[in-house]
Amino acid sequence: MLHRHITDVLDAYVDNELDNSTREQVSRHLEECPDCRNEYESALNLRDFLKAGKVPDPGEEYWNEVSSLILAKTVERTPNKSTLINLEQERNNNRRANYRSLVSVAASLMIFFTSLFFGSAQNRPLTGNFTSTDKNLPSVVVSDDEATDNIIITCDEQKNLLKGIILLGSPSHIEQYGILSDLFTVR
Amino acid sequence: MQDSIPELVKAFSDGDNQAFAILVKRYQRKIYAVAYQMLGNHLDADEVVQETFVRIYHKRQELKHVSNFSSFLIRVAANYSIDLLRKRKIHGELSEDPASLPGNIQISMSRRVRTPRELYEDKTMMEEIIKALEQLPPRQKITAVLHDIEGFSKTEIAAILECPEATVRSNLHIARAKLKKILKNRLSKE
Repeated sequence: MLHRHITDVLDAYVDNELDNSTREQVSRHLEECPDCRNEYESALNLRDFLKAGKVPDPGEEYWNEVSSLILAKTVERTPNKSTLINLEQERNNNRRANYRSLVSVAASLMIFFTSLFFGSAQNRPLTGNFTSTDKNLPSVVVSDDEATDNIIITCDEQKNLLKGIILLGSPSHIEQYGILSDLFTVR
Repeated sequence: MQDSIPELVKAFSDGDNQAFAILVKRYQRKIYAVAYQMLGNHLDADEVVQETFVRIYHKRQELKHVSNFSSFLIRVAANYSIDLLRKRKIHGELSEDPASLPGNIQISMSRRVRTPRELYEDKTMMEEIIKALEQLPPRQKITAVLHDIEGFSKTEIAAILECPEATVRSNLHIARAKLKKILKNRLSKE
């Protein structure tokens, strides 16, 4: 029969955690009681058995490979300070460029609508044939009846107006206007 | 280069990646051993090793307040192993050990796992231990692994598992009683 007061401290006895006097009492009991001694021996066997098991070593090549993998997942993925500073500078430059572009487009639109407004305010009647020298722009014939209702902008005026719009925008905007970039070429 | 663990940990938390590389080399075997005994196969143990160090790397700022780096590291590994065990229990996932896979798969994996016969003289014994440990719930299992196999003290385990020492004693006592029962036949041969 196992004795409760011994089995309660048997773990501590096996792990050598008892004070001297308790340890001596348990030792004496184990000498006298075969059941408790069996329990103690079984605990010792388990401890020795667990300690004897060796985790298989995957080999030096694995250890080198796994540490390289860990470094690749951590150190090599994290940008250093100078890279972060460069990224920040690039972001600021992009922000500034976008702001300049917006201002340019707004100014261009303002000039365009202002010129339209002043053009109609003049309300000057124009009649006759207006023939474009540029094959991309149509020739216009305006009759006397239409003259008072229409605003006629000549080819040169159109070109100058468009050139003005384009020049006010940043050079990167020329590509956005597509067909207008053809007009930009002064013949 | 400084050699003591506290100096390496301080250098690492200050952003020294060289110190991190040294810490990985020093602790990867320990983490692997704990994970292997918890999960019972190379592939899961490998995952735990990598994930533990990746997590440690991202938590390096916290290391300034950590008094025992080893315990901190084992805690991260133990928690991740327990998560994997629970996930496996829910989804029935089981990473197979290369030794149990068909030949062609073994060949493709042999680059990772080298199994020369002489290195595996304790393989049968280890397999028996792993099989017995598999029958324990995760907390009892990690307690037995850390105390009876890896040699951590109960106080250290309480710090690692963030629980009272009395809980460690209780879990260890129950785990040992179960293991004795499971390994009864094997232990009687000893």
